[in-house]
Formats: sequence, C-alpha cells, structure tokens
Amino acid sequence: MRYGDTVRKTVQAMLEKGMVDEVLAFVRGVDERDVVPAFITDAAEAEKITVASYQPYSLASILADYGDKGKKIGLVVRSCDARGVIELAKRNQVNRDDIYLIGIECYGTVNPANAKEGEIYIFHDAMEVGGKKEALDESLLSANCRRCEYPVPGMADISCAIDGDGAIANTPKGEEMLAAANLKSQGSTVDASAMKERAARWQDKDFPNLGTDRQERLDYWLRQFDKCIKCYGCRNVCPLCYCKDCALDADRVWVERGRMPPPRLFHLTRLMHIADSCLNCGQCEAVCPMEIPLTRLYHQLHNELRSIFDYESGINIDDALPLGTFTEEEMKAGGVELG
Amino acid sequence: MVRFVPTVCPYCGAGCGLLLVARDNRVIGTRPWQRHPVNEGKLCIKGWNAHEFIHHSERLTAPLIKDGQSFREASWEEALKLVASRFGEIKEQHGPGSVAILSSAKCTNEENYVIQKFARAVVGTNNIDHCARLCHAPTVAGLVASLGSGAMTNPIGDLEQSDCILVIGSDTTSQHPLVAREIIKAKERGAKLILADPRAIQLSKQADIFLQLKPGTEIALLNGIMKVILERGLEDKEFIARRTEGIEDLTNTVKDYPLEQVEQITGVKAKDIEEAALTYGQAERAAIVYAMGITQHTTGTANVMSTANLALLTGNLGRTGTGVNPLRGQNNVQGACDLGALPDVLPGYRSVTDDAIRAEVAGLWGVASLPSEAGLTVVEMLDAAAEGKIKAMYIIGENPMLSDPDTSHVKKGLENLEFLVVQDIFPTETAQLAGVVLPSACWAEKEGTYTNTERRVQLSRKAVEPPGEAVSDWEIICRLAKAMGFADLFPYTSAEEIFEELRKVTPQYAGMTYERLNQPEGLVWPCPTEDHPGTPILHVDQCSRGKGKFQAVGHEAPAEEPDEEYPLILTTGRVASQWHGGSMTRRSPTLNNEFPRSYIEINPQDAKKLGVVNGDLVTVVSRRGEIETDALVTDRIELGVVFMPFHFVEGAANLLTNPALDPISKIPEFKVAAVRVSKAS
Repeated sequence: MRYGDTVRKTVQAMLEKGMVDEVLAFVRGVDERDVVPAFITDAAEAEKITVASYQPYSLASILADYGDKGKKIGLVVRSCDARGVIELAKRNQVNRDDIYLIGIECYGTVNPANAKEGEIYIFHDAMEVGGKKEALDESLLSANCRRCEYPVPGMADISCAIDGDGAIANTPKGEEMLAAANLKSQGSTVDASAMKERAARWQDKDFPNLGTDRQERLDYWLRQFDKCIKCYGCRNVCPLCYCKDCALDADRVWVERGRMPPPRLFHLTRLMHIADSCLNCGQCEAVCPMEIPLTRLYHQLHNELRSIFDYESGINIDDALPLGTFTEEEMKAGGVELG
Repeated sequence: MVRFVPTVCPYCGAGCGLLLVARDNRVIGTRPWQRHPVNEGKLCIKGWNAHEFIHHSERLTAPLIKDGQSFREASWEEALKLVASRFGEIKEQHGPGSVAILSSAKCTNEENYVIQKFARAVVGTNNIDHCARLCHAPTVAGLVASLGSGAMTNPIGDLEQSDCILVIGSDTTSQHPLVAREIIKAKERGAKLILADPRAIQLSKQADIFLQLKPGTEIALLNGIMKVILERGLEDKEFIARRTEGIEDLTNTVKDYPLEQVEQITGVKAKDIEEAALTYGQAERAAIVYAMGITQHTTGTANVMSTANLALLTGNLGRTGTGVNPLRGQNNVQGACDLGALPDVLPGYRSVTDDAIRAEVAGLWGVASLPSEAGLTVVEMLDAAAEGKIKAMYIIGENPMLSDPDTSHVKKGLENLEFLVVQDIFPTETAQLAGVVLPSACWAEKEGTYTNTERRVQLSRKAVEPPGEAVSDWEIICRLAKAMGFADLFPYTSAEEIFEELRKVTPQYAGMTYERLNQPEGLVWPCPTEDHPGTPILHVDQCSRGKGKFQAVGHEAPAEEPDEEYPLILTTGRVASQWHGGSMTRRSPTLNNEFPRSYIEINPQDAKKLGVVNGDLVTVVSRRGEIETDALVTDRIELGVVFMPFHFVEGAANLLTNPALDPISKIPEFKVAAVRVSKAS
C-alpha cells in the first residue's frame, strides 16, 4: 500500500475506460524530493503519480498554459488547484465539462529546500519524512499552506484520502469516476475543525504583525516592492493571471519599462486584478526570487473583500467576481441608468 | 504531448535549474525547477524567457559559404572540406601559430574540452582563448597567486549565513539575481550589507553602507579599509600567523593610505570608509562578492588580489558565510576555464610549459607532442590579426564585434584574416565577416555538463532536436577533425564519452561520472575520486597553495583619465533583461521589449552643463570612436561619470571603450574610458 493508491487506481481506470484523454499530475523527477508535472495518456503510467507533499507548480496554471484544448483532461489536484480550475472555468479559460478533478486531501506542502532528507508526506497531525512518522513541524510548511482553510478538496469531483481507501464523490461526474474504478464513496476521517483552527491561528499571526498603523503597513510593503527585480514570476505562475495580453507587459508601457525596481504600479495593478479572487495558493510567493511575501498581501486583502462581498472564490462556478461584475442595483447606486 | 525537461539556464554563472516545457519538437515555455539547489523554484526574467530565442526564424540551419558579398547554403561535406583545406594550407604555409581559436563559455564542458584538444592536437597551437579573458581572467590569475585556486571560494547559498557582505563592482540584482536573493535573505536575517559601486544600483536601496566610488579606484578604497582594520586591531592575528605569509608587505603598503587621501582618490567620504572597515572587520563571518567592477581594469589582477588581502587579513576564508566570491558571467565560463580553453593551461589549469604534464596528456591522447609555448589571448589575437600574424580564426559562439573593446580595431583585425570560420546559432555581427559559417545546436538541443560560478558541475538534458542541419558544437568539431585526418583522436559518439575522457586529464573532475551527476545537486569540484562528495568550500584547513599570500598592491590610475578634450569617465555594464552582444536576448521579444534601446546615464548637473534633457539624442565620442544614443538623466550616476550598456549594435558602447590591457591577465579596461558628450545635431 502506497500513499495515494486511490488516486492512482482512479486515474488508471479513467484512462483505461477512455473517460479522459490525458491526466495531468505530479510524478517523481530526478530524485525522490523532485516532483514534476506530467501529462499521462497511458493507463500503465498512472503508477508514476505521486501525492508526496510537494507543490512546485499550480497545476491549474499548467493546464491553462499548456493543456490541450478540446481534450478531456483529468487533473490530480489539491484544493488550491481545484479552486484554480473553477476560477479559470468561471473566466471561460477552460471548459469545466472537459475537466475531471481528482482531489487529494492536503494538510500543507513543503519546498524541498526546507526539508532536506527524504520524501515527505504531511498529514493533519503528523508527518512522514523518509519513511519515518514524526510529529508535524508546522515551520516546514509553506506559509500559505499554514493559513489554508481547505484541507479537503470538496469542490473537486472526488476527494481522496492520502492514506487508505477513503474517497468521496462530490459531483455526479465524481460518482462516475469512482464507479469506473470500482471504488465506493466512503468518508474520510479528517477533523475539519482542527484545520480551521490552524488556519485561523496562522492568519492571526501572519496578518496583524505587519503593524496596525496604516503608514507602517504601507512602508512595509513599499520596502518589499523595492526588492522587486521584475521577473514577472508572480504573474507567470498565478492561476488567475490568464490574460494573453497583460497590462504589465513591457511593450504596453503602462508601467514604465526598464526601471528597477519597477514603479509601484506594477504590484498594485496585479493586486487590483486578483485580490477579489486570490486563492492563497502561494505560487507568487514561492517563485519570488526576492522573497517578497506576496501571498500574505493578496490573501489578507482577499479576506477583507470576502467578508464585504460574502464571496468565496474557487468554490462555485456560478458565483460572479465581486469586483469584476456589476449588478443592476450597484449600477444604479453609482448613478448609472440602464436603458 | 507536453514534456518537462530539466536543463541548466543558458544565461549567467549562477547556473539555475529550469524545466523546459516541450510539445513535440518545440519548446513552448520555461518553468523554474523547484528541486534545484541554487534557485529553489525561482528565476529571473532571463531564466523565465530562456526559451524565446530557441525557434527564432533567424536560427542558422545550414552551413554557409561566402560567395562574393553574400552567403550561399552548402552541405556539411562541402563546408567542412573547405574549412579543413584552408586551415591545413594556412598551417602548412605560416605555421600552427598563424591559426587562432575562440571557444565559448556558452558551450558545454565536453565541447570546450574537444575544441582545446583540436587546437593543441590537430592544429598544434595554444592560441585558444574565450571570453573569460574579458571578464574573470584577473580572477583566475589573482586568486591563484593569493590563494592557489582561481575560483569562487564558497557556495552561493552560503551568503545567507554571512554577518556582513561586501559587494564591490557587482550589479547583483540585475546580473546574478539568484545570488542577490541570498544577499537579501542574509540582510533579512540581520546581516550588514556594504555596497561599493560607481552607480546607485538597485542593491543600494538595501545597503547599510553605500560607497559610491569613482571607477578605477578600488584598490585605494580596499587599502583604506585595511588600514583602518589594522589600526583598530581588528585583524585576525591567529589566522595571519598560522595561515598566511607576507603580512609585513601589506602593512607597509596600506599605511600609505590615510583616509583623507583615499577620500580624494575615490570620492568616498572618509567616515563611510571607516564605518565600512569597522563593520566588515568586526563581523564574525564576512563575505566579499565581486564581479566586473573589480576585474575589467588595467589593474584587474591587482584589484582581485586586494579583495583576497582583505579576506586573509580578517580570517574570512574556509568557513561558511565567508570567502572571496567572484561571480562568473556566462553559464559555463567556469567550465570553459576548467577544461583548458585558455592559452597557457591544459585542462585542470595545468601549465602548457610543464614538460611532464604535456607528456602525460599527449600520451593519453595518443599524439607525439603538444605545443609548449603559451598562446595568444583574445585581444592579442585580434591585434595579431590586424598585424597579419594571425591568418585564420575559428570563432565558436562568440561575437567580438560587440563584446570586445574598440570595435573598429576588432573589425580591422577580422577583415584582415585570410580565412574566418564562425560557428554559432545566429548570424551574428561577427558571422557577417566570415568565409564559412557553421550552424550549431543551442543548449536545449543537446546533452552535456555546465559548471556554475560555485564550481557546481551540472548535467543538462536535451529537450528538442536542433533546427535544419544544425548539430552540437562537439559534433561539428569532431567532423572537422575527421576532415583534417584526425578522426582517431575524436571517436566520440556522445557527450558522456567525452566526459569519460576529460575526467582522466582534469584532476578536479576525476571522480565525476554522468551517473553521479544525474542528481539535482550535481557535484562541486574538486572531486578527485569516485567516492569523494565534492568540495563546496575551498581553503578550509589551508589554502590551495599552502599559505595564503598577501599580495601588497597600490593604487594606479586607469590607462585613460578625463581631460579637457574628453572630460567624462565612461563606464560600461549590462541591464537586467539583455545579455552581452544581444544575439539571444534581442531575439527574445519579452526580454528585448523590457530594454529595447541603447542609452547613456548622465548626472543631472552634467546634463545641465551640456544642455541635455532626459530623452535627448546625444553624441558620445572617445579617442576610438563616436556613437549616438539616448540620454537618461539620473542621479543614479555620480557627477563626471557616465554609464552605458554594451548590448546594442546601434549605439555600441564598445566602439568607445579602451583596449588597454592589464599586464598580467590581459583583460581590457572596459570600465574606464574618457569621453565627451554633446547634444546630437
């Protein structure tokens, strides 16, 4: 029994039965701490899929950038990726009907640079490093993961346990997927409230410590932006930044080009564009060569907007973007008369 | 089907890992490799867009032979037959010393090994060099003299552990961004950052102490710092006694550098120099990081020695978070030096003048003898070409028409050759002057190893096939050797076979195999045996040469100083999104759009005097040439100094630069030339 057997079994069955043309998942790379994305078409290759707790890329973003359009594609996803796919579908960038989301529960991921010995699996109350069970060391986890409120990917078509054969169908499509693999929909044992507590604890820790004084907070972020070398990595990996023609591109000259650090408009533009939907997937921060804690900013602002607009991103494809959509009432309130 | 192929970034010496995203035979994107020990999932703008030039329409896809003023396509057979016969004739008529070869710091270790073997065993000359001459030749010479090994002493990741980092002459955030990351991390851990640079570069925003010195006054500054350290008793007496020699020379020399005088020479306030000295001198672990701002001077080698003096004086060597850390420019400039693409040494820095070593290598290669006289360096080759002493050149992956000083002189030399062969991936400005142009595969189209600035040897994988008839550089060289009748010396069918041979003659690489290198960490040289783990930190218990040697050096003025006719100091460098002669980056839309044009930075007061406002077209004139470019009026640059990047053929800075050489390492003085600027009419 390996961790993630349910996932591999489901993927294999889906490919064998022609339910999907290909499956995007992480497989082992050069060594056991290296995982890389792979588009799998051969059912026998499903064996290679790993659910070790590394997340080098948002698979939602990989799908949007490199996925074959018009094909039926399965994705092995953590909650952040499942939510990314839903947001992309909401923006008409992928067709949700063609996507099969095979969810895997996730209690946090680790940058291999921070855990140097052996393959790592994170569970809700423990971890396994190089085959040895240990008490969970939360400091190893990526900062966004510690703040995450979505350990179980209930928004995916199925959610699978890492350990054992727990798998739940969340959609009619999910029921078909489990049926194809001869798996029963049966519950996982996760204590969701414990995860909510952890998320709240880390959010309380990460957000206010930037200072409650407005000027202090502003100064903090402006100092952070001064480190920026304009690699565009944060934009390149963001599952919500899908525009082919981006306002930040140098030839648009919206942000003065060739200036280092870039004018602050660079960061503020991105913040405006994604704050209402930020998934706290952590990718922008993970790729930042200058260690700017970007996700912290986006996540904090998103939480504010979430409470104002009563909106949760990445859950329901029919929930409209709060800052990108205007209702008739809102237009009227702004003095706009609709003809 | 989309694949993700691990390779090593083709730009700077940091050697970041990246995954090329390939669909069928096309690279469609780049993603950072999270598992990679250097970049840990991060990249700079060049890395992110490394794939953009691969399938550019101007890639060379067939051998070209000059026919009148233009080129015609030819078969490999015809082109190589022509090259072989012309090289053969010229060697016959004028001797092996009439042929010179430029290798490439963009080529793999295997390719550099093969080309130096070609030069020495087929042509019979040591006239082989490459662009290390233009960047870190003083490092190789200077650090060997001081410490015994001419390479970065500590790993990149070590910088995070420093308590004080002195960055001198390195625009790290722009040129080695993933090294800058470690400096930022150290800073956020509480380390002090001292920056010495003629320009208020981005790192100055992070610096605790910023020393804005005049270009060419580095030794005066460092001697001033060492004088304060000695006066305050901050030197490491135990380290000096046990591990160094020559302290008396240094003490005698630096006593002549009172801070008031150093302030006059460098333009840096005495109290800032003092503060820098105390900060560096008191740190438990202090590291020095430097680049072209130290080396590209007529005092380049002495400048390098001066940085080593400072580290030796304070015992900042052989421990985590310390060291003398030159940042190598090209992705494989370290490897090209290691594998002997240099005129005075065989692979492994073993001297060509040593009879026993030559005999050993000749025996292994199966040749009767090897040339025993050191060959010509880059600038000397072009001088000799202009004088008619060099008759033929074989230039691989270099573009001296943009990257070497005094372009008019370079052009004269190249045009004066009887025969020029250029091997490249694009029709560069240099290729236009060639008789035969040979098309190479780029990094994404071949397997091989690269050695980054911290001596980490890394395996890069092939993602796609090369375009048209192009093949890897090592295959071209082997085919040419065959056409010249030396097939038996070049029997290789893979890069790995070459590696197996090169490790037999390169002691630092002896313990490495492709199997061992097939891990994200690669192996760091020296790695003498197959069970040796590699050596991330040099000079741990003793220096490579035994005792570290203080090489006392004094300030000497640059070869050219401003005067009435040419009142401004021109210093040159690079911008974040362009690379050297631009043959790759200017063909990468994202990178080129970020910085599409040449410009000159001018201090607002100088601009006012000249009647120039931001954006004006200006004429810049030196004793070598004249160009037009855009004025960028900025207080980033000091009064009396102007700065230009050298990437752009239109407004090419190297038409202006001074080819005066450092007498030891033969590096030209790119960092200081006298110019005048006026508003273009």
